[in-house]
Amino acid sequence: MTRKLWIVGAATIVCSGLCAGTALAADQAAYEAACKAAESAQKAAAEARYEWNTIGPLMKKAGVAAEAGDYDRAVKLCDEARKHGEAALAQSEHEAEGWKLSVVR
Amino acid sequence: MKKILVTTLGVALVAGLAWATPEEDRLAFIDYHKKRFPNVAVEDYVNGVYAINPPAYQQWLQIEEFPPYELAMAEGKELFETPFANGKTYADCFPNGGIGIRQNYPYFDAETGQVKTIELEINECRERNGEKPFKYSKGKMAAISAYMAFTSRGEKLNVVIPDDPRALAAYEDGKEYYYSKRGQLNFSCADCHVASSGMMIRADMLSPALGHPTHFPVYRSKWDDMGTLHRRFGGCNKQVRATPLPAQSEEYRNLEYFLTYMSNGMEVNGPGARK
Amino acid sequence: MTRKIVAALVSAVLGSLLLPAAWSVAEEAQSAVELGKGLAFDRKKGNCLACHVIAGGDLAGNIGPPLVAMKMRFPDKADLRAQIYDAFTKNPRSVMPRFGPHRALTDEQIDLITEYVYTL
Repeated sequence: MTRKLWIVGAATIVCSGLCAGTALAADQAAYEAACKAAESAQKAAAEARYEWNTIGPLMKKAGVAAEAGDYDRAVKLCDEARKHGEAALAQSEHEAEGWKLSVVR
Repeated sequence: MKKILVTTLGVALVAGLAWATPEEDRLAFIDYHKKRFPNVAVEDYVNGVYAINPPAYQQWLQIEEFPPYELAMAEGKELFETPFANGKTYADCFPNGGIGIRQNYPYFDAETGQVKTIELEINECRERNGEKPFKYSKGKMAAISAYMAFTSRGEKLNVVIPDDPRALAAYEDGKEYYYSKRGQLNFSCADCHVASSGMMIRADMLSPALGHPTHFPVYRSKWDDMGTLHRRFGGCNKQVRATPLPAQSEEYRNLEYFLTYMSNGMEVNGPGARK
Repeated sequence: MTRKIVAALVSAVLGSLLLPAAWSVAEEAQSAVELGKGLAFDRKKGNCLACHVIAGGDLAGNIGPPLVAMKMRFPDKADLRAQIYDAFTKNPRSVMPRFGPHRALTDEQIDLITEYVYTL
């Protein structure tokens, strides 16, 4: 039991060190990857005809941040945009059946 | 006996949840509005929110004394009557010379398998005669559409869903769009204009769905401009934080097909003036 | 004499330690409510007034119920937070926006709004 705790504790310490390291190293490549993921989520939502108009502006802001060299912020904004795209797609899946419950009968 | 009863109940339940014909939908739609606004006559819904909001109705009557859409209508008449470069006119493209026909739109076109709106056919007419198409949301398109609606005032909406599975599919598609929640704010058209009609959103009363398409295109004070029905669809999409679809996209045409069918039998009174 | 001084010193030290702590807790709660109110009234954030009557708010809508007697309606504050976070939890066709899952508000913003609404 105690040993298990030790391992978890050690792992946490090692990971927090590593993760902080990666977080600090947000660079152009990280931005491009995050941006690409956001774009594909946006595309999936748009193809379902469920795109939100919040996604484009977030990506635009991300682009501005990246241009200014603030990749941390750019990655954060792209991640947010991706999450909006994913939520929009989840909405389309929910509504695929859900709308029927609202029909006036 | 008990078993039979249970089976019958089960069938009834399934039937109740199952698909309804467009005509059943329309009657249920009217019934819903009658129950929600027992003091409003069905034919008054052509006046939109003003049918259910007496103080706003008085203001609106004053606006209608000097209709803000009059300029656009005059422009539309002139455009409509001016021949194309090849000498032909819009009158050559439409039944009855394009006069008094608005009530028959949108319709299902068996040849293309698509729902055709009057704006779509205005541009088809232009292109067939070697002219560049107009943009669909406002400007000259809204002006011509306004004039064509005006010549049809008093005619009753007569949207037909022919016995063609593609027509029914288009109707069902529009119905699905109408009742589906979308955008970050998660509102469907029906959330505001069916379930919450007559309620206040901030300082504005939500207009009832019945009669919505009778008065388009409209001069909208908020726009300070004329706009087509599809311009309004796009505006509603944006308000719920959804990305609007292009005017005259298949989805919007199908939506117009469903929505106008719900108002079948009501008088065309476009163009209108709205807040 | 010495004892008195010591006692005074101790109480001063304790007071300087404890009093500000007590103050800051109250102040923090106060400012959370104020911040929450700001978010609730902000048209680009909670925009609660679009649909709910709230004491002190102008041009309120009435699509949803007036926000009154919240402690009675939600004895457990967590239930109120859940309703603000995701109205689908209670009703999957609710016309209230799903502020949390749809990321219209952050978790922290929802916490602050909950603090404010719970005072109503």
